[in-house]
Amino acid sequence: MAGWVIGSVICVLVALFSASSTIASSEGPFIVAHKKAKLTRLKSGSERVSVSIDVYNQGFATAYDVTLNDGGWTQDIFDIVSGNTSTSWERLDPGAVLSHSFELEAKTKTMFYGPPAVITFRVPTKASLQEAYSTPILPLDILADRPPEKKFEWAKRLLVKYGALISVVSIVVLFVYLVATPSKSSGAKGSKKKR
Amino acid sequence: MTIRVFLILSLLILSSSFLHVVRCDLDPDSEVVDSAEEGGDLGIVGEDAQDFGAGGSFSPAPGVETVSVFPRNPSKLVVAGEESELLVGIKNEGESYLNVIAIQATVHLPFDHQYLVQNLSAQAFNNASVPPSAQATFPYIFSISKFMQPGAFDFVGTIVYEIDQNPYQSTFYNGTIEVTEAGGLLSVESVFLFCLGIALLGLLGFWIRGRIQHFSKKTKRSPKVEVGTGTTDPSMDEWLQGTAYTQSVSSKSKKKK
Repeated sequence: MAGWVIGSVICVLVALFSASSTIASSEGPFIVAHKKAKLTRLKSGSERVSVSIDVYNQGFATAYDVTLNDGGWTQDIFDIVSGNTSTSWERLDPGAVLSHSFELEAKTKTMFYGPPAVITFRVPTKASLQEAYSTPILPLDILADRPPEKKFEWAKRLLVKYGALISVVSIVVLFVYLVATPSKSSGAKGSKKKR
Repeated sequence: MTIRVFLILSLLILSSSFLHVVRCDLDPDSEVVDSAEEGGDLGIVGEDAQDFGAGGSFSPAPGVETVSVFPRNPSKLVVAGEESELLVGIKNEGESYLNVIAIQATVHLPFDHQYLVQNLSAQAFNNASVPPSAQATFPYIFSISKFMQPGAFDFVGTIVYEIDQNPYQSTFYNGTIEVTEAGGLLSVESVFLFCLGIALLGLLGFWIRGRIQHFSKKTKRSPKVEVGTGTTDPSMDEWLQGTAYTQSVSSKSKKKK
Protein backbone atom coordinates (compact mmCIF):
# COMPACT_ATOMS: atom_id res chain seq x y z
CA MET A 1 0.00 0.00 0.00
CA ALA A 2 2.69 2.47 1.06
CA GLY A 3 4.88 1.36 -1.84
CA TRP A 4 2.02 1.95 -4.25
CA VAL A 5 1.46 5.47 -2.88
CA ILE A 6 5.16 6.30 -3.08
CA GLY A 7 5.34 4.95 -6.62
CA SER A 8 2.36 7.04 -7.75
CA VAL A 9 3.83 10.16 -6.10
CA ILE A 10 7.12 9.59 -7.92
CA CYS A 11 5.26 9.13 -11.21
CA VAL A 12 3.34 12.36 -10.68
CA LEU A 13 6.54 14.23 -9.84
CA VAL A 14 8.30 12.90 -12.93
CA ALA A 15 5.34 13.86 -15.09
CA LEU A 16 5.27 17.36 -13.61
CA PHE A 17 9.00 17.76 -14.10
CA SER A 18 8.86 16.69 -17.75
CA ALA A 19 5.83 18.86 -18.35
CA SER A 20 7.52 21.84 -16.77
CA SER A 21 10.64 21.29 -18.84
CA THR A 22 8.62 21.21 -22.07
CA ILE A 23 6.63 24.22 -20.97
CA ALA A 24 9.82 26.06 -20.14
CA SER A 25 11.22 25.53 -23.64
CA SER A 26 8.15 27.03 -25.30
CA GLU A 27 7.60 29.58 -22.59
CA GLY A 28 10.56 31.79 -23.37
CA PRO A 29 10.45 34.84 -25.61
CA PHE A 30 10.47 34.30 -29.37
CA ILE A 31 12.01 37.26 -31.15
CA VAL A 32 10.92 37.83 -34.75
CA ALA A 33 12.70 40.73 -36.42
CA HIS A 34 11.76 42.27 -39.75
CA LYS A 35 14.40 44.28 -41.56
CA LYS A 36 13.47 46.41 -44.56
CA ALA A 37 15.72 48.53 -46.77
CA LYS A 38 14.41 51.03 -49.28
CA LEU A 39 16.45 52.79 -51.93
CA THR A 40 15.76 56.39 -52.94
CA ARG A 41 17.70 58.11 -55.71
CA LEU A 42 18.62 61.67 -54.83
CA LYS A 43 19.05 64.44 -57.38
CA SER A 44 22.64 64.94 -56.26
CA GLY A 45 23.54 61.55 -57.73
CA SER A 46 23.80 59.54 -54.51
CA GLU A 47 21.49 56.83 -53.26
CA ARG A 48 19.77 57.05 -49.91
CA VAL A 49 19.06 53.79 -48.06
CA SER A 50 16.25 53.89 -45.48
CA VAL A 51 16.53 50.93 -43.13
CA SER A 52 13.76 50.06 -40.69
CA ILE A 53 13.76 47.12 -38.30
CA ASP A 54 10.67 45.91 -36.42
CA VAL A 55 11.20 43.52 -33.52
CA TYR A 56 8.24 41.40 -32.43
CA ASN A 57 8.03 39.11 -29.39
CA GLN A 58 5.88 36.14 -30.27
CA GLY A 59 6.79 34.11 -27.20
CA PHE A 60 5.21 33.90 -23.78
CA ALA A 61 7.81 35.65 -21.65
CA THR A 62 9.42 39.06 -21.57
CA ALA A 63 12.84 39.58 -23.14
CA TYR A 64 15.14 41.88 -21.19
CA ASP A 65 18.04 44.06 -22.33
CA VAL A 66 17.14 43.77 -25.99
CA THR A 67 20.05 45.04 -28.10
CA LEU A 68 19.85 45.52 -31.84
CA ASN A 69 23.03 45.66 -33.88
CA ASP A 70 22.97 46.09 -37.64
CA GLY A 71 26.66 46.38 -38.38
CA GLY A 72 26.64 44.83 -41.81
CA TRP A 73 26.77 48.15 -43.64
CA THR A 74 30.41 48.50 -44.68
CA GLN A 75 31.94 51.87 -43.80
CA ASP A 76 33.59 52.50 -47.16
CA ILE A 77 30.34 52.25 -49.12
CA PHE A 78 27.80 53.72 -46.72
CA ASP A 79 27.79 56.86 -44.60
CA ILE A 80 25.32 57.22 -41.77
CA VAL A 81 23.06 60.20 -42.37
CA SER A 82 20.67 59.94 -39.43
CA GLY A 83 20.08 57.48 -36.62
CA ASN A 84 22.33 54.77 -35.35
CA THR A 85 22.92 51.24 -36.58
CA SER A 86 22.72 49.96 -32.99
CA THR A 87 20.18 50.56 -30.29
CA SER A 88 18.91 48.90 -27.16
CA TRP A 89 15.72 48.65 -25.16
CA GLU A 90 15.10 47.58 -21.60
CA ARG A 91 12.41 45.02 -22.23
CA LEU A 92 10.11 43.60 -24.89
CA ASP A 93 6.87 42.15 -23.57
CA PRO A 94 5.10 39.28 -25.31
CA GLY A 95 2.88 40.53 -28.11
CA ALA A 96 4.64 43.91 -28.26
CA VAL A 97 6.66 45.36 -31.13
CA LEU A 98 9.62 47.74 -31.14
CA SER A 99 10.82 49.69 -34.17
CA HIS A 100 14.08 51.29 -35.10
CA SER A 101 15.09 53.08 -38.27
CA PHE A 102 18.06 54.90 -39.66
CA GLU A 103 19.30 56.33 -42.95
CA LEU A 104 22.45 55.75 -44.90
CA GLU A 105 23.87 57.33 -48.00
CA ALA A 106 25.83 55.48 -50.66
CA LYS A 107 27.91 57.06 -53.40
CA THR A 108 29.60 54.10 -55.10
CA LYS A 109 27.91 51.95 -57.70
CA THR A 110 27.87 48.39 -56.41
CA MET A 111 25.73 45.35 -55.67
CA PHE A 112 25.47 45.05 -51.91
CA TYR A 113 24.52 41.84 -50.10
CA GLY A 114 23.54 42.76 -46.55
CA PRO A 115 23.71 40.30 -43.68
CA PRO A 116 20.81 40.12 -41.22
CA ALA A 117 20.79 42.27 -38.10
CA VAL A 118 21.63 40.60 -34.80
CA ILE A 119 19.39 40.98 -31.77
CA THR A 120 20.61 39.88 -28.34
CA PHE A 121 18.46 39.60 -25.25
CA ARG A 122 18.39 38.08 -21.80
CA VAL A 123 16.00 35.53 -20.40
CA PRO A 124 15.54 35.05 -16.63
CA THR A 125 15.75 31.26 -16.87
CA LYS A 126 19.05 31.15 -18.78
CA ALA A 127 22.36 32.79 -17.90
CA SER A 128 23.81 33.17 -21.39
CA LEU A 129 22.90 35.93 -23.80
CA GLN A 130 20.32 34.78 -26.37
CA GLU A 131 20.73 35.58 -30.04
CA ALA A 132 18.20 36.19 -32.75
CA TYR A 133 18.65 37.12 -36.42
CA SER A 134 16.42 39.39 -38.46
CA THR A 135 15.15 38.70 -41.96
CA PRO A 136 17.80 38.98 -44.65
CA ILE A 137 17.39 41.74 -47.21
CA LEU A 138 17.42 41.38 -50.96
CA PRO A 139 20.63 42.41 -52.72
CA LEU A 140 20.68 46.17 -53.18
CA ASP A 141 21.63 47.48 -56.59
CA ILE A 142 23.14 50.82 -55.61
CA LEU A 143 23.13 53.56 -58.25
CA ALA A 144 21.79 51.18 -60.87
CA ASP A 145 21.30 52.43 -64.42
CA ARG A 146 17.63 53.04 -64.88
CA PRO A 147 16.22 53.21 -68.43
CA PRO A 148 14.67 56.63 -69.16
CA GLU A 149 10.90 56.77 -68.98
CA LYS A 150 9.22 56.88 -72.37
CA LYS A 151 7.28 59.94 -73.40
CA PHE A 152 3.76 60.21 -72.09
CA GLU A 153 4.14 57.13 -69.93
CA TRP A 154 2.31 58.95 -67.16
CA ALA A 155 -0.57 59.75 -69.53
CA LYS A 156 -0.85 56.11 -70.53
CA ARG A 157 -0.88 55.01 -66.91
CA LEU A 158 -3.63 57.51 -66.03
CA LEU A 159 -5.64 56.42 -69.05
CA VAL A 160 -5.43 52.76 -68.13
CA LYS A 161 -6.35 53.50 -64.54
CA TYR A 162 -9.19 55.99 -64.98
CA GLY A 163 -10.27 55.59 -68.61
CA ALA A 164 -13.08 53.17 -67.85
CA LEU A 165 -14.47 55.32 -65.03
CA ILE A 166 -14.44 58.50 -67.09
CA SER A 167 -16.16 56.82 -70.03
CA VAL A 168 -18.85 55.32 -67.80
CA VAL A 169 -19.60 58.64 -66.12
CA SER A 170 -19.69 60.51 -69.44
CA ILE A 171 -22.04 57.94 -71.02
CA VAL A 172 -24.45 58.19 -68.10
CA VAL A 173 -24.34 62.01 -68.10
CA LEU A 174 -24.95 62.17 -71.85
CA PHE A 175 -27.84 59.74 -71.55
CA VAL A 176 -29.45 61.85 -68.84
CA TYR A 177 -28.95 65.00 -70.91
CA LEU A 178 -30.52 63.43 -73.98
CA VAL A 179 -33.52 62.16 -72.04
CA ALA A 180 -34.11 65.24 -69.95
CA THR A 181 -34.02 67.89 -72.69
CA PRO A 182 -36.56 66.99 -75.40
CA SER A 183 -38.23 70.44 -75.45
CA LYS A 184 -36.12 72.09 -78.14
CA SER A 185 -36.49 69.38 -80.78
CA SER A 186 -40.22 68.85 -80.11
CA GLY A 187 -40.85 72.63 -80.36
CA ALA A 188 -39.00 72.73 -83.67
CA LYS A 189 -41.02 69.75 -84.89
CA GLY A 190 -44.28 71.41 -83.86
CA SER A 191 -43.42 74.61 -85.66
CA LYS A 192 -42.58 72.63 -88.76
CA LYS A 193 -45.94 70.82 -88.68
CA LYS A 194 -47.94 73.99 -88.36
CA ARG A 195 -46.51 75.22 -91.64
CA MET B 1 -30.42 66.83 -84.18
CA THR B 2 -27.55 65.74 -86.40
CA ILE B 3 -25.11 67.19 -83.88
CA ARG B 4 -26.58 64.98 -81.17
CA VAL B 5 -26.41 61.89 -83.37
CA PHE B 6 -22.79 62.71 -84.10
CA LEU B 7 -22.12 63.17 -80.37
CA ILE B 8 -23.63 59.79 -79.53
CA LEU B 9 -21.68 58.01 -82.23
CA SER B 10 -18.40 59.64 -81.25
CA LEU B 11 -18.97 58.74 -77.61
CA LEU B 12 -19.67 55.12 -78.48
CA ILE B 13 -16.52 54.87 -80.59
CA LEU B 14 -14.46 56.55 -77.88
CA SER B 15 -15.84 54.29 -75.17
CA SER B 16 -15.07 51.20 -77.23
CA SER B 17 -11.46 52.35 -77.53
CA PHE B 18 -11.31 52.79 -73.75
CA LEU B 19 -12.73 49.33 -73.29
CA HIS B 20 -9.97 48.00 -75.51
CA VAL B 21 -7.34 49.52 -73.25
CA VAL B 22 -8.99 48.10 -70.16
CA ARG B 23 -9.33 44.64 -71.67
CA CYS B 24 -5.60 44.42 -72.20
CA ASP B 25 -5.18 45.16 -68.54
CA LEU B 26 -7.56 42.41 -67.47
CA ASP B 27 -5.88 39.52 -69.27
CA PRO B 28 -6.21 36.48 -67.03
CA ASP B 29 -2.96 35.64 -65.28
CA SER B 30 -1.65 32.21 -64.57
CA GLU B 31 -3.14 30.73 -61.43
CA VAL B 32 0.00 30.97 -59.33
CA VAL B 33 1.61 34.39 -59.42
CA ASP B 34 5.39 34.11 -59.31
CA SER B 35 7.48 36.27 -57.08
CA ALA B 36 10.64 36.85 -59.05
CA GLU B 37 13.52 37.72 -56.75
CA GLU B 38 17.19 37.52 -57.51
CA GLY B 39 19.38 35.98 -54.85
CA GLY B 40 22.98 36.41 -53.94
CA ASP B 41 25.46 34.86 -51.63
CA LEU B 42 23.25 34.90 -48.60
CA GLY B 43 19.60 35.48 -48.77
CA ILE B 44 16.59 34.82 -50.85
CA VAL B 45 16.64 33.01 -54.18
CA GLY B 46 13.80 33.16 -56.70
CA GLU B 47 10.96 30.71 -56.87
CA ASP B 48 12.11 27.13 -56.94
CA ALA B 49 11.31 24.60 -59.63
CA GLN B 50 11.62 21.74 -57.20
CA ASP B 51 8.46 20.32 -55.79
CA PHE B 52 8.97 19.72 -52.13
CA GLY B 53 5.57 18.36 -51.36
CA ALA B 54 5.52 15.68 -54.06
CA GLY B 55 8.22 13.55 -52.50
CA GLY B 56 6.19 13.18 -49.34
CA SER B 57 6.21 15.46 -46.36
CA PHE B 58 9.06 15.30 -43.94
CA SER B 59 8.55 15.28 -40.22
CA PRO B 60 9.55 18.11 -37.93
CA ALA B 61 12.85 17.85 -36.11
CA PRO B 62 12.89 17.79 -32.31
CA GLY B 63 14.19 20.94 -30.70
CA VAL B 64 13.01 23.20 -33.52
CA GLU B 65 10.19 25.64 -32.93
CA THR B 66 8.49 27.81 -35.47
CA VAL B 67 6.23 30.81 -35.19
CA SER B 68 4.63 33.06 -37.77
CA VAL B 69 3.75 36.74 -37.79
CA PHE B 70 1.70 38.75 -40.25
CA PRO B 71 3.50 42.09 -39.91
CA ARG B 72 1.17 45.05 -39.25
CA ASN B 73 -1.77 42.78 -40.06
CA PRO B 74 -3.36 41.29 -36.94
CA SER B 75 -6.58 40.35 -38.73
CA LYS B 76 -4.63 38.32 -41.34
CA LEU B 77 -6.16 40.22 -44.23
CA VAL B 78 -4.80 39.29 -47.65
CA VAL B 79 -5.71 41.24 -50.77
CA ALA B 80 -6.21 38.94 -53.75
CA GLY B 81 -3.79 39.74 -56.55
CA GLU B 82 -1.42 41.80 -54.41
CA GLU B 83 1.73 40.73 -52.62
CA SER B 84 1.46 39.96 -48.92
CA GLU B 85 4.27 39.31 -46.51
CA LEU B 86 4.55 36.80 -43.73
CA LEU B 87 7.44 36.41 -41.28
CA VAL B 88 8.51 32.96 -40.15
CA GLY B 89 10.53 32.71 -36.96
CA ILE B 90 12.52 29.55 -36.33
CA LYS B 91 14.25 28.65 -33.07
CA ASN B 92 17.06 26.12 -33.11
CA GLU B 93 17.44 24.45 -29.74
CA GLY B 94 19.56 21.60 -31.04
CA GLU B 95 23.30 21.17 -31.04
CA SER B 96 24.12 21.61 -34.72
CA TYR B 97 23.50 24.14 -37.44
CA LEU B 98 20.13 24.23 -39.14
CA ASN B 99 20.00 25.10 -42.87
CA VAL B 100 16.73 26.50 -44.12
CA ILE B 101 15.97 25.25 -47.62
CA ALA B 102 12.59 26.71 -48.56
CA ILE B 103 9.25 28.00 -47.40
CA GLN B 104 6.08 27.00 -49.20
CA ALA B 105 2.38 27.34 -48.59
CA THR B 106 -0.96 26.10 -49.84
CA VAL B 107 -4.47 27.48 -49.64
CA HIS B 108 -7.42 25.18 -48.93
CA LEU B 109 -11.17 25.50 -48.65
CA PRO B 110 -12.20 26.30 -45.09
CA PHE B 111 -14.88 23.69 -44.73
CA ASP B 112 -13.11 20.85 -46.54
CA HIS B 113 -9.39 20.83 -45.93
CA GLN B 114 -8.56 18.23 -48.59
CA TYR B 115 -9.60 20.55 -51.45
CA LEU B 116 -6.54 22.48 -52.60
CA VAL B 117 -7.44 25.90 -53.94
CA GLN B 118 -4.01 27.26 -54.74
CA ASN B 119 -0.44 26.07 -54.44
CA LEU B 120 1.59 29.16 -53.58
CA SER B 121 5.07 29.46 -55.05
CA ALA B 122 7.89 28.21 -52.85
CA GLN B 123 10.64 30.57 -51.80
CA ALA B 124 14.06 28.97 -51.67
CA PHE B 125 16.94 30.18 -49.55
CA ASN B 126 20.59 29.96 -50.35
CA ASN B 127 23.04 29.52 -47.51
CA ALA B 128 20.56 30.41 -44.77
CA SER B 129 21.75 28.71 -41.62
CA VAL B 130 20.64 29.14 -38.03
CA PRO B 131 23.31 28.50 -35.39
CA PRO B 132 22.46 26.35 -32.36
CA SER B 133 20.64 28.10 -29.50
CA ALA B 134 19.64 30.95 -31.81
CA GLN B 135 16.50 32.24 -33.44
CA ALA B 136 16.15 33.58 -36.97
CA THR B 137 13.43 35.14 -39.04
CA PHE B 138 12.69 34.52 -42.69
CA PRO B 139 10.28 36.45 -44.90
CA TYR B 140 7.74 34.76 -47.14
CA ILE B 141 6.22 36.97 -49.81
CA PHE B 142 3.23 35.47 -51.56
CA SER B 143 0.29 36.65 -53.62
CA ILE B 144 -3.05 34.93 -53.84
CA SER B 145 -4.59 34.75 -57.32
CA LYS B 146 -6.61 37.88 -58.05
CA PHE B 147 -9.58 35.78 -59.12
CA MET B 148 -9.96 34.28 -55.66
CA GLN B 149 -13.37 34.74 -54.09
CA PRO B 150 -13.30 36.95 -51.01
CA GLY B 151 -13.79 35.07 -47.77
CA ALA B 152 -12.01 32.91 -45.24
CA PHE B 153 -9.62 30.23 -46.46
CA ASP B 154 -7.32 27.74 -44.79
CA PHE B 155 -3.68 28.65 -45.15
CA VAL B 156 -1.04 26.04 -44.45
CA GLY B 157 2.56 27.20 -44.46
CA THR B 158 5.53 24.87 -44.09
CA ILE B 159 9.23 25.48 -43.78
CA VAL B 160 11.69 22.87 -45.10
CA TYR B 161 15.13 22.68 -43.49
CA GLU B 162 17.92 20.23 -42.94
CA ILE B 163 20.06 19.33 -39.96
CA ASP B 164 23.18 17.24 -40.66
CA GLN B 165 22.00 16.52 -44.23
CA ASN B 166 18.64 15.19 -42.99
CA PRO B 167 15.60 17.01 -44.36
CA TYR B 168 12.84 18.07 -42.03
CA GLN B 169 9.65 20.03 -42.43
CA SER B 170 7.62 22.03 -39.92
CA THR B 171 4.26 23.66 -40.28
CA PHE B 172 4.49 27.21 -39.05
CA TYR B 173 0.92 28.23 -39.75
CA ASN B 174 -2.24 26.18 -40.13
CA GLY B 175 -5.22 28.44 -39.81
CA THR B 176 -7.58 30.80 -41.57
CA ILE B 177 -6.77 33.93 -43.52
CA GLU B 178 -9.22 36.49 -44.77
CA VAL B 179 -9.05 37.13 -48.52
CA THR B 180 -10.45 40.45 -49.73
CA GLU B 181 -11.02 41.69 -53.23
CA ALA B 182 -8.65 44.20 -54.74
CA GLY B 183 -9.88 47.58 -55.92
CA GLY B 184 -11.03 50.15 -53.43
CA LEU B 185 -14.12 52.27 -53.29
CA LEU B 186 -13.93 53.58 -56.83
CA SER B 187 -14.53 50.68 -59.20
CA VAL B 188 -16.27 50.83 -62.56
CA GLU B 189 -19.30 48.91 -61.32
CA SER B 190 -19.88 51.05 -58.25
CA VAL B 191 -19.47 54.32 -60.16
CA PHE B 192 -21.82 53.15 -62.91
CA LEU B 193 -24.47 52.00 -60.45
CA PHE B 194 -24.20 55.24 -58.50
CA CYS B 195 -24.58 57.36 -61.65
CA LEU B 196 -27.45 55.21 -62.88
CA GLY B 197 -29.23 55.51 -59.55
CA ILE B 198 -28.93 59.28 -59.57
CA ALA B 199 -30.05 59.43 -63.20
CA LEU B 200 -33.12 57.32 -62.48
CA LEU B 201 -33.99 59.46 -59.48
CA GLY B 202 -33.63 62.55 -61.64
CA LEU B 203 -35.90 61.07 -64.30
CA LEU B 204 -38.46 60.21 -61.62
CA GLY B 205 -38.30 63.75 -60.34
CA PHE B 206 -38.86 65.15 -63.83
CA TRP B 207 -41.82 62.84 -64.40
CA ILE B 208 -43.41 63.79 -61.08
CA ARG B 209 -42.94 67.47 -61.87
CA GLY B 210 -44.60 66.97 -65.25
CA ARG B 211 -47.58 65.20 -63.66
CA ILE B 212 -47.95 67.95 -61.06
CA GLN B 213 -47.91 70.60 -63.77
CA HIS B 214 -50.44 68.65 -65.80
CA PHE B 215 -52.83 68.31 -62.87
CA SER B 216 -52.50 71.96 -61.84
CA LYS B 217 -53.27 73.19 -65.41
CA LYS B 218 -56.36 70.98 -65.64
CA THR B 219 -58.09 72.56 -62.57
CA LYS B 220 -57.56 76.13 -63.87
CA ARG B 221 -59.06 75.68 -67.34
CA SER B 222 -62.84 75.17 -67.75
CA PRO B 223 -63.66 72.14 -69.87
CA LYS B 224 -64.09 73.40 -73.40
CA VAL B 225 -66.45 71.14 -75.25
CA GLU B 226 -66.21 71.19 -78.99
CA VAL B 227 -69.77 71.25 -80.33
CA GLY B 228 -69.24 71.95 -84.01
CA THR B 229 -72.07 73.34 -86.10
CA GLY B 230 -74.81 70.91 -85.10
CA THR B 231 -76.76 73.19 -82.70
CA THR B 232 -77.63 75.91 -85.15
CA ASP B 233 -81.00 75.77 -86.75
CA PRO B 234 -80.74 75.33 -90.54
CA SER B 235 -83.78 77.53 -91.12
CA MET B 236 -81.90 80.45 -89.53
CA ASP B 237 -79.13 80.27 -92.13
CA GLU B 238 -79.52 82.93 -94.77
CA TRP B 239 -77.65 81.11 -97.48
CA LEU B 240 -80.22 78.30 -97.46
CA GLN B 241 -82.96 80.68 -98.70
CA GLY B 242 -84.08 79.79 -102.15
CA THR B 243 -82.53 76.33 -102.12
CA ALA B 244 -84.07 72.88 -102.05
CA TYR B 245 -84.25 72.91 -98.25
CA THR B 246 -86.70 75.83 -98.06
CA GLN B 247 -88.78 74.35 -100.87
CA SER B 248 -89.09 71.04 -98.98
CA VAL B 249 -89.97 72.83 -95.75
CA SER B 250 -92.72 74.85 -97.53
CA SER B 251 -94.05 71.67 -99.24
CA LYS B 252 -94.15 69.92 -95.88
CA SER B 253 -96.01 72.72 -94.21
CA LYS B 254 -98.50 72.76 -97.17
CA LYS B 255 -99.08 69.02 -96.79
CA LYS B 256 -99.75 69.30 -93.09
CA LYS B 257 -102.29 71.94 -93.72
